Amino acid sequence: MHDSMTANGELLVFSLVLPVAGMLLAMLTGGRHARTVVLWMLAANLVVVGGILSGVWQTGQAITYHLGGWSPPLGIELRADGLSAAMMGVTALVSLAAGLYAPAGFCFPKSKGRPACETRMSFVFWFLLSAIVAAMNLVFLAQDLFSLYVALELVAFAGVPMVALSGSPNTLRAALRYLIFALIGSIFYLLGAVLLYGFYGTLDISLLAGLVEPGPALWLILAFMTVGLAAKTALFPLHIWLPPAHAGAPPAASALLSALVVKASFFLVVRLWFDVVPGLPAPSASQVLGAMGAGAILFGGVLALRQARLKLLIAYSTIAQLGYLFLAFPLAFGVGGGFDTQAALTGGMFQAMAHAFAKASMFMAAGLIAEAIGHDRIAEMGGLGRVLPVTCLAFGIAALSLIGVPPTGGFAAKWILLEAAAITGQWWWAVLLIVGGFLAGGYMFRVIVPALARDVTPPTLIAPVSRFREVVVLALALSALALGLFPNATAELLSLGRPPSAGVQEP
Amino acid sequence: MNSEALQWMPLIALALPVAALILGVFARVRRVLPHVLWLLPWPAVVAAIFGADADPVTLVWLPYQPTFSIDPQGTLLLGTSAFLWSVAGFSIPVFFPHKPPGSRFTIFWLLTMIGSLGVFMAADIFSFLICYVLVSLPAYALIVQESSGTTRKAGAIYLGFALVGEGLLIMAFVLLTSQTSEAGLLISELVAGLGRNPENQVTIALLILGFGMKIALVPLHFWMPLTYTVAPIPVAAVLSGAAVKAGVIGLLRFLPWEGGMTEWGSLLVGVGFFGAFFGVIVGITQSNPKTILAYSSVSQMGFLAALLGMGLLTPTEGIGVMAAFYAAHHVLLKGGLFLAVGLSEITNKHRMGLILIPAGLLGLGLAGLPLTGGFIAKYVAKEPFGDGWPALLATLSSAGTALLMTHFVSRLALVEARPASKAARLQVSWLLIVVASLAVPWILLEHLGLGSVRGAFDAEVLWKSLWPVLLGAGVAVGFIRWGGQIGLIPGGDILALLNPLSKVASDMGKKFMTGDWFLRQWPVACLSFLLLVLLLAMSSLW
Repeated sequence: MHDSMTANGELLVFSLVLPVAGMLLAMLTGGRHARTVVLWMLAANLVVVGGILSGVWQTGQAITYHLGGWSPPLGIELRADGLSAAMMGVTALVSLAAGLYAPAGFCFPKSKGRPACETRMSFVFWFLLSAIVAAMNLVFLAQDLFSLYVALELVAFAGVPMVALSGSPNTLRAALRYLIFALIGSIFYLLGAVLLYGFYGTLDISLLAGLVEPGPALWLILAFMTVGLAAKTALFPLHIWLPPAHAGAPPAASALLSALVVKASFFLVVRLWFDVVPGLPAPSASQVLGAMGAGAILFGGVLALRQARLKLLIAYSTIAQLGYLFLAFPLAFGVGGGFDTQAALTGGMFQAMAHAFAKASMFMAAGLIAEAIGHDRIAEMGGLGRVLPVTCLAFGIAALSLIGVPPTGGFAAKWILLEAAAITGQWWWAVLLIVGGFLAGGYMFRVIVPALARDVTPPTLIAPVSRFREVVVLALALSALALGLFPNATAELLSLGRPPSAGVQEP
Repeated sequence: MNSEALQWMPLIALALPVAALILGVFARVRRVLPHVLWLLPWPAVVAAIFGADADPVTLVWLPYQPTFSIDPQGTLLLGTSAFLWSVAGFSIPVFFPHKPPGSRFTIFWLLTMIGSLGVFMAADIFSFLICYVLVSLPAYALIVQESSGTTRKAGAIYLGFALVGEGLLIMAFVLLTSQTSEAGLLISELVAGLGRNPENQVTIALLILGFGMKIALVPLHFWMPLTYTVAPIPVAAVLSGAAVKAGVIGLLRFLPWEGGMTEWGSLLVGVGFFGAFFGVIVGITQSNPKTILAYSSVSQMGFLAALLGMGLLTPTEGIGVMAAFYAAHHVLLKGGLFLAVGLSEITNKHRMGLILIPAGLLGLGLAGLPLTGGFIAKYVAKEPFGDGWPALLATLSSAGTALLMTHFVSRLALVEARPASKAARLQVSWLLIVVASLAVPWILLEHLGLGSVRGAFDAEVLWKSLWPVLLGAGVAVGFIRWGGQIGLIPGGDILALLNPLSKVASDMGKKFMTGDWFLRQWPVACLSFLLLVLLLAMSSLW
């Protein structure tokens, strides 16, 4: 069943070893040089991931590597298909941008007075940044449910302290809540994995795919694992830990958490439903998952409309945008059947990528705004476009992508999902996608419209804004835009190296 | 020129504005741009004159591979719109006497202009969509030039309409592309079988709703009076003249004209005529000349919708060109009338006659006053209405237009004048557009094969066009003299009825907040974990 190892397989190992090495090296050199070390590591990681991407693109197949030459189920297999390669690319770009954006001393404004710089915090941030990259890469490459469990735990271990970076009581409380949700999620996932091993004697994804049989036991296992992962993805109604956690973290950390960390557990749900039990669950189960996504889109959208703080607005928008990801499931395994499941999956993953770029850009832009004017109260941002034009431009482009205005990446994602809804005849998801776009338009223009105001005295800048950091933010927003300009290439990349059996059979 | 070169005309039309936009990243270029805005649409005028009916051109090296072509319908709207963009652009400095409009205004003006011109030439679905978005969303920044409550509210409503309309259209386009997996993305291929398949009713409904919002079909019209009232004069001129026609070209391009659309045709005729009279009735209670013009646009677009509805009912040869001809005249005329409002604001009382008389001529021309350009437009547009009651309604709507336009001129006379610098720019703009709106329909009539000048000079034709004008103007004089009910209906009319909705929405929002608080309680959160597991597991068993 397993493909033998392919050329360039070592690159996969590099993509795991590099961030870990960066982490260790940063520990050795201490806080002062951590930034330099980690930035070089992120650049190298981008090169390695670029190699993986071009390898998958050129051969049109997945890249595989068996650790120590042992093939599964004895050994551990690393495998980069189109989905993995694309997500690794996004991770490499966003993490590098976050690294470049994070100020050298990693200072951030305390609630009162001058910005504070602490070497402890600086060190911890760079350390965690490397850890997140390592953990994310493992999530995308691992092919057995146990390695994936380890990767998932690593992501949580790196993500939770990110939330509490500033050490204030509020962020600690938010981090604790996040930790507990992540913990329950892990337990649910682990329970499912153990049961699977008990039933089938393996945790390898492709072996499992050949063994699993539909039945109440499998449904229970799948339900436990899915709900556990949904909690870590902050899918409605398990989203409640996300807003305080993402809004309380420093901007660079918020960007990483919102753009990348929550996508790790989503990626596992995809692996589970599309690769472990392809097409087995009843359509009604996927409708339940879609209903949770619908709840997220509506709930997150309405609550974002009512936030007074910019970072909280963006955090609630994350909840809404994550809801779209889960529409891929009813659209792929929905009532109609006979539809190419890969297309629905492509729509969901496209959304994950576009959202990663746009949301990272948006959180970082919010960070720049907060540093420049000393607060993030939306009501007092009138005329902001005149004093921070580049930041506001980046925010605007990112917002257009989140709303789904053509020709952005968010638009391409929604188009693919709408097309899937039209072909499978599930019009209710199409209505939801359109309504979600209106809500996104509503909460985004709440920020953009006052920023464009002409006759308002703009807020006074209390600190200068670094042009370099503005360019980083703009580059991320433009990436979200560029994704929409090449929808066909991206869709093709996402479908490379996918198992052909991933289609639901005509009933 | 050979056809090979003519093929590239659409690109030449867009090249200058796009280049200006890109070079706008340099501050030095940005400073020059406001002074040359009037120059940038001219290649499009040239393209409209020379580039019609060339083969489509596809830009294979660009993402989405956009295809552009200039067909007869597109030509008419492209040429007139580009001319209006130029003239309105020339007049901008007059309306920003104290401080220049700023580079942001210029950039958004360019974006809207690119969309407005591009939408007439886009032949594939994606470039159409992108142009359509460009002609809708960036205009927000042009409309809202001050932060007063009414302006912000009008802007928000405009934006809401633009977003909802685009959402509906995107859904319609997805349905169009997904029904035929093999066809390309050319609009003409996608809509080829639209009318024949009964499953396409939803698509057609979405198309009519989406484009109907853009052309302000009643009851989806109330954004228009609000928007045009608060927008600066040049912006109102290009929006009412050129930008609205994106909806017209959309209907022309996407609806199936091969017949068999009885229900949709009747619906459009009914809604269209209702709007044509509704605009007049609400319009005569308004005092602000800009608001009156907006209601006149509601009325005119209603008439146009009725015309298109007749075309859907009974397939008519050349209905597209007829409608485009009528719409093209409206581009020039409505632009000209808005500039007249601007001119009246800066002209002394004793010279007002120089504005009121041509403005009256234009206004009554809209109603079909013989020998004006509007007379020709009505002459061309009357054939699809046949001889029955639709023809009678069309004639009565002309009387309504005459009524509304007389009211407009009477309100124009009351505008307070204030001195302005650079007034000559506006006078030149106004003169050009008045001449164009009077002359262009005459020039194009025989050229397009829509009729003969000699035929228009028939005594019966002249009288049939004259009496509604006399009737309307006469009623108006009586109305102004004896029964004027100014301010009876607030601008934006049915918006006032929607106010309770905002309270409902706010209550809903509070409910969501409470719901979020509820879910945040630990017992609830733990329970939701377990319930979700059960729900997911059980759902597979069904």
